[in-house]
Amino acid sequence: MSDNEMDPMIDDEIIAISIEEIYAAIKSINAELPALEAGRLNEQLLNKIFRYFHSLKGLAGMLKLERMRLLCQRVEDVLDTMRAGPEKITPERIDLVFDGTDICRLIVDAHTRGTADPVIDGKLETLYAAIEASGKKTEEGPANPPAAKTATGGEKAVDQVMDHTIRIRTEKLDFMMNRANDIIVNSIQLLGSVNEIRLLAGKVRALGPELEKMRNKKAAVLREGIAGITASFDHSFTNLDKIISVISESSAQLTDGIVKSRMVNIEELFSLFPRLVRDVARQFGKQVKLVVASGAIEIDKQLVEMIYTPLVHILRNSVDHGIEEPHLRREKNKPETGTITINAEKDEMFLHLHISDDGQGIDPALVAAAALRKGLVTPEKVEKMKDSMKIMLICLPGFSTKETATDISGRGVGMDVVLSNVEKMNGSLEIESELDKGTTFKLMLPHNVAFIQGFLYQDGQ
Amino acid sequence: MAHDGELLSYINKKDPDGINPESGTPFRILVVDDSAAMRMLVTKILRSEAYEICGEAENGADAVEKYKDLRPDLVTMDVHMPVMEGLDAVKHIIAFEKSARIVMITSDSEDSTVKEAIMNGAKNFAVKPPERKLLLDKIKASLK
Repeated sequence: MSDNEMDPMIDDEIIAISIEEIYAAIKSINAELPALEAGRLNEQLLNKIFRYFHSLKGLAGMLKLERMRLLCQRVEDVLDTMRAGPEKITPERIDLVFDGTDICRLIVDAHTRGTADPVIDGKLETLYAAIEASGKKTEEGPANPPAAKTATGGEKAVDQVMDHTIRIRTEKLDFMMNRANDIIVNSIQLLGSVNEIRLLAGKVRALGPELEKMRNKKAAVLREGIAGITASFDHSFTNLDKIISVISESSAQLTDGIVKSRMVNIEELFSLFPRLVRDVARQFGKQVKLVVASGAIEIDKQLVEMIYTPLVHILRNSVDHGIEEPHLRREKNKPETGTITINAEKDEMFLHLHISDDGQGIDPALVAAAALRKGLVTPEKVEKMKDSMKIMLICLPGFSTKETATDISGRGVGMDVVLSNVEKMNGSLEIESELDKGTTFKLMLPHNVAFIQGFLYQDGQ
Repeated sequence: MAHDGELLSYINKKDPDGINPESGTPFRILVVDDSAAMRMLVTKILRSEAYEICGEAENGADAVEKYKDLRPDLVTMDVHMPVMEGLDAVKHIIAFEKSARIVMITSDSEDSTVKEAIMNGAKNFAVKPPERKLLLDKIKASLK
């Protein structure tokens, strides 16, 4: 058995579970790594992350993903260095771990897709160079990563059975949903056709009395024939009615079942955010931590996908414009690290999401002035506005464009996009703010993604 | 079904390693690893030689519990696990039963933890991912 072939003992089931475990580990690393703070030694967390990479290394070895195995080894080395003491935990080293995680992701994505990803080798080179530079011991062996190999194995289905659960791509559920809809729609049309035939049968039945009027033998024979046909019709219709009723009931239940199976835990969405906040904070030179408070809330996967972008915009804005720079926060006697909190609650009709920051707040006067300057609103309208309304002006399209170097438009990119997305979902957005205390974005989103109850009207019916 | 291949090779083979020559019954193995994929692989390899997998554990603490409960003939032990590391589990198990047979499974042959484990009573070690023949040889040797 050559070095690059997997052990024949490793069957499809083992491969599928290994890949599932790899993705789970990467997800966990991304969820927990942002909590690692420069200059602060958190042994438990470091050990946890180390263990994740160790697992990844083992799994990579099993799947003969040699580049990934080597990568995990090197990241382990970096983590090992960090374990030595708080002074070893530098932002650069933390970045190396993040980059390593991302490249792992790329490698396993390419593997499951079955096609090579040309960017990987370049990224590996850059990362290894950076690791060298940070002065870490590297594994003995080739200085350059091995030449790119086309990933073997083709596309492996990520469907698998484990602990009575199954993972399904939403496209498959959408497909099923569409088929269920087809059934509902067609059974209504079927009912329509049946009713048409019922009418025709009625016409046939009506011939009976007409024939009765013609008192002759042939008419009598016809009349008997018609009576027989009508009786058969009635019998058939009784059956058809029963059948259509069952189809109707079953497809309603089927639709219901599919709707329920599309529900996912909102944690799926939130687990992506600590990483995002961390990256944006770095980008803007802020220190921010994210706190997520939500119970086990289940919402439709489509809703999750739709609120992702608005939430990302809001978080970016909070970091960029809400949370002040550390030195400014110090001057205000605030902790240097700003806090963003996400709160989620669900009631019968709505999903309530509150995103609060303890930043500088939004100044209604400044916002109104900027809106006036940009010609987005007239002075008369502004006169009559309450402060709470003025704050909402940041959601006007065109508000976020920069005018001059001394732009004080406050909130920046994307609030108009957020508002339009929220409205597309038939939801509502409210912004509350107190100067220097902070800002809270409140989203209220109906969570019953209404599904077809199949009332399709054809022309003229 | 996944087991067919193992069953066939068991039937076709004379004297599979997994059968204790003295008692004529299979050796009982406890498989410990936090990765389900890895446990599955080890189990498959062992079953192909008619070993009986009497239990599985996901972490060191569970391993110790199950050892006390099941009294297996041998344990395959992953080195790095949550809750309790492999090394600690080894120490606990050896403290419980000096003659316990434990084979460490590790990603890293240079791992100093493996050396410590052996100094603390583990009989042998195998490298991940386990190559069938190598793993079987080590287990067979440890059971002597």
